[in-house]
Amino acid sequence: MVDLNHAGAETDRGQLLLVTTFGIAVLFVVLALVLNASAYSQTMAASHGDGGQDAITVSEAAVDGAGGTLEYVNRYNDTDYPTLQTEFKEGVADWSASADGYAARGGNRATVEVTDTTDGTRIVQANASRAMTNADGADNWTLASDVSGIRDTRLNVSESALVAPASDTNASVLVDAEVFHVVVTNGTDERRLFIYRQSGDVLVRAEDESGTLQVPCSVAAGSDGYAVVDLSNGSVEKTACEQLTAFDDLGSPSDVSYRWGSNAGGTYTMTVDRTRSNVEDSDFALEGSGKPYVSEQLYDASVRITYATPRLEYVTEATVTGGERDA
Amino acid sequence: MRNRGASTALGYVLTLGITLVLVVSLLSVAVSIVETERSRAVNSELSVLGNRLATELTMGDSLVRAADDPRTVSLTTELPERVARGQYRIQIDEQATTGAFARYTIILKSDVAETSVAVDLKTGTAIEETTVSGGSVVIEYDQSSDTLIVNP
Repeated sequence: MVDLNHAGAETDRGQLLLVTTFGIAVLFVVLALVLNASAYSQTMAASHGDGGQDAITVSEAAVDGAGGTLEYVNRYNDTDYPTLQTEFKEGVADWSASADGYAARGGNRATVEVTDTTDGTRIVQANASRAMTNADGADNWTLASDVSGIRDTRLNVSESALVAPASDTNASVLVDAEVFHVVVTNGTDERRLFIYRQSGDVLVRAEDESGTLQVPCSVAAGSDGYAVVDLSNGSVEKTACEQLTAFDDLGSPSDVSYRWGSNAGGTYTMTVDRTRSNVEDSDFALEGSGKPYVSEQLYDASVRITYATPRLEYVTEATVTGGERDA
Repeated sequence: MRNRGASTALGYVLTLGITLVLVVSLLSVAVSIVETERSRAVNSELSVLGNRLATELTMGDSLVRAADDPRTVSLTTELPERVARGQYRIQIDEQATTGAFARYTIILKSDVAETSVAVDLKTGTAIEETTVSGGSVVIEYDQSSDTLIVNP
């Protein structure tokens, strides 16, 4: 410090420098705080997590689990509807309890509950050498009435049992030739699916409600002489046949029938979304009799899935089917 | 002798004046640096918060679209109420709808610093346009209107 030989002036200048020093110190502190705020925002970006993905995983797993349970009870507990419903609900409750226990380890909750089930009927013919007639041998018969959903429809037809029509130009020619066909009708509109043979091949041909006959799907039967007509995945003996996927119900309760069942032979299975009261008991025999039979099934079920974390609440309802849905 | 006395007084005044000018200029520069830094800090923090909210909205959208029949989707997003000791506002604007997707912009505006941040996002579920004050928000799904709503 410069000596000015003045005690008073020396004191004043000292104060000024002190104030300035304090001012700069405060400035640096403010600067540090602001820089600290920017450092904090960087930290926040990194410390971000959520349970949304887990919620989706859990709900998908729940749908899979409930679907598997439905398939299981339909196969092993098909004595009657109350048994099916009870077993299904118990199975889903077991699944839910174990999923919840697992989620609880992470401080979360995961539950599944059955909100609704649809009773259905499975129609089966297991005898591969039998014609597709009803239990009494009638050619033209109705498998199920007033159905609005059909799933897992599969026919395994014997090539040799089919009719070989002289001409297949239009539907009436095929009907006149007594070709086996499946009819879905709601009283006003009608869809038909003709199955016949021609020069060693199995031909599958759908007619829509406008009466237009599609180009046939022509496939050689397998080495066993049978061809699988799968309406669920739209294929004939593993060859894609697009028109089969379009062959479904008419959007209103429809009847499913067979025409000229004696001109086709083999096994078939389908599940409809109506109770056994919608099928004529006299058309069917008991399981194991070699004739067509029916069994009680759950067509589908609605489940409510809940997943909750401290930050997230997710509730969704899903419909599960025990197989592939056709319509 | 008298001249030297005058010189001492003059020297004193000059020293005082120069010091004052120096300190004032240093302070004003420092204040402007602090203001700029603060604005930058607010901007970067708002940008982080905007992107976090966008992530949560996208997650809500995924949850809605992943479900066949979503009933309740409720996501709590914890955001600070203040950024650099100042409040801010969150505004959600719809930009355009292209096909099944809609574009939105989340605008975060600070009340204290002259800065705002816009974050764009695209969702399959509609988001209700809204303005809420900064802080934790709850993203909820409204089943009847099939929209996501951001509530404070």
